[in-house]
Amino acid sequence: MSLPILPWLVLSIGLLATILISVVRVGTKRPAQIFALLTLLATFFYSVTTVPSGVENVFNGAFEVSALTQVGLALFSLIGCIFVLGTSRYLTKEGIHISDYYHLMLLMILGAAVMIGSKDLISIFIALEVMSLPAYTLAGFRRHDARSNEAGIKYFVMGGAIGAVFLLGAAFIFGATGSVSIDKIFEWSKVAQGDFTLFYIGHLLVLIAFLFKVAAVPFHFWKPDVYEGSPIAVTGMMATVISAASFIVISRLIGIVDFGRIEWGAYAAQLKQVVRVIVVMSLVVGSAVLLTQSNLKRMLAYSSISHTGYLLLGILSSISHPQEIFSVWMYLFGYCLMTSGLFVLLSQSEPKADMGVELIDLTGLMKRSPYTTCLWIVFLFSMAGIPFTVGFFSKYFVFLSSVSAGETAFVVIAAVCAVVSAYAYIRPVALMVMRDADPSASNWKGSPVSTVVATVSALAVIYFGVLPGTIVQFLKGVPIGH
Amino acid sequence: MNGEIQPMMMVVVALIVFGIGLFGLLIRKNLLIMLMCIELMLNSVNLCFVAFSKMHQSVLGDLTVLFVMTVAAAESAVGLGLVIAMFRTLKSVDTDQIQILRD
Repeated sequence: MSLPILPWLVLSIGLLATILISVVRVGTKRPAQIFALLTLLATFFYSVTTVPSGVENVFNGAFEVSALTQVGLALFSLIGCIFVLGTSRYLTKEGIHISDYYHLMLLMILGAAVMIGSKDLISIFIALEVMSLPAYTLAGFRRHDARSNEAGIKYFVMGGAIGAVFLLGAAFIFGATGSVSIDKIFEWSKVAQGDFTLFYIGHLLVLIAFLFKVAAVPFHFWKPDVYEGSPIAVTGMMATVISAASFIVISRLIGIVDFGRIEWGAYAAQLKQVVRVIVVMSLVVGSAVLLTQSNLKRMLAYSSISHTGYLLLGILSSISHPQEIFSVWMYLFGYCLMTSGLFVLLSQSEPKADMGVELIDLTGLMKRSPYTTCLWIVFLFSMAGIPFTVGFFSKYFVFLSSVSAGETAFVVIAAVCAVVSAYAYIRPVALMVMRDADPSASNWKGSPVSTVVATVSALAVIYFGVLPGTIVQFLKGVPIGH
Repeated sequence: MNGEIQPMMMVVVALIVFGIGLFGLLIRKNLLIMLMCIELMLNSVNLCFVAFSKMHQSVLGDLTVLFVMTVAAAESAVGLGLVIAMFRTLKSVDTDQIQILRD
């Protein structure tokens, strides 16, 4: 008997075991960390060894097991491993190295992993909340720090409103189609006649909810504050796991109707127009404000807003050309890889007093620790999209897809924004290499394990930047669900 | 037809309640009131689901309501936890107090 949902089961059982083991052995910190790591490694192992070739629907069509969802789960558990290993010293230093942190982190990964497989609006909602509720708690995890409290509260209020908006959209779609299953809605869209106004409103509402979640402009205002206030390890998880999962769901929700049918042509055109506006605003605001930031976490927040712009450009071309969606998967892969590595490096900082990590803390890092500087340079270059890093190919394939979908004007805008934001990524490099250490610059001291983790990430960034063939071939072959 | 409630009327009521919730969330400064507003929004969606369920003669919407109520309970538990953590640090539940993170 084969069990398609085995990797998800491994993660759930591991999560329960982690909670139980920390109840039994009160007072020590190690068991939860080790169990969390073992769970994530086992999940990674099971999900990469059993990648299915087709699409298998389980739970009466409410959940999809396919190469996409399984590789997504593998990626999330890998990111989890990176953060468990890489930020252990940071957590101890911040005084939040307690077992609850690992329970919430595993729960967040489980929610994200279930969400990308969900093919039913209600299970998407429940998975969204399973992913978000731990994230709110983790954002406010440094509970004696007013900034962390603020981040948690802001994230919670935004997230609660987003959840309600998503549900209202789901209710409208249910009202229009009589179903909440994505497959059944797709079948409905092939034969439906009459007035679709109720469906349009519902569809736009569910999309807006997820655009809030990935912080596309104009729904981005919460992101810099939440990024700055949350603990660095948590910000890293938010930037990678939650963004990637939300983008996979966005692509699923966009493809909920059969745009090949003539009745949907006008709506497809309008939807594309809306996405185009959001793409341009995200790119311009993300890249322009990026230049003005001095706090590194705020900088990464605006950086992720501009990455949202590129990803939405890929989604835009997939509306009319569904096979181009592989460029989005490629971008997400590269983005997750470089962002998690960058956040591990960021967690090695030892800022003075209560301040966040500022750009000035990086000055003269080359003289203080040359090796770490090289890692920084790899990740920052990848963020900027410089060749021989994975970030270059991420952008390259998105641009290529958009050109073949006829969005040439937007590729030009995106390329200009990439050049502008490259300046913002090169500036820290210049500070590290060319300047002497500022007297107020903080120390950087990572544990050997976190440096090893960052090194492995950096090698992966370079490997996939030089030889992207295998991963691109694989992602092109991922079957497209709708 | 006399005396029977039309599904679309229920939807309109639900939308009004949703609007009240959203409006309250935007203008109120007290975090506890804002939590209530989020609950109000979720409950208005429940009403919406029940109305559409009646319209389609389907039990799907009624089932959804149970899920939404469960999630809403979990959400308010987390929200209250965060509000308590904030109250311990700042001795206030006013959103004017949380303006530290700025550009």
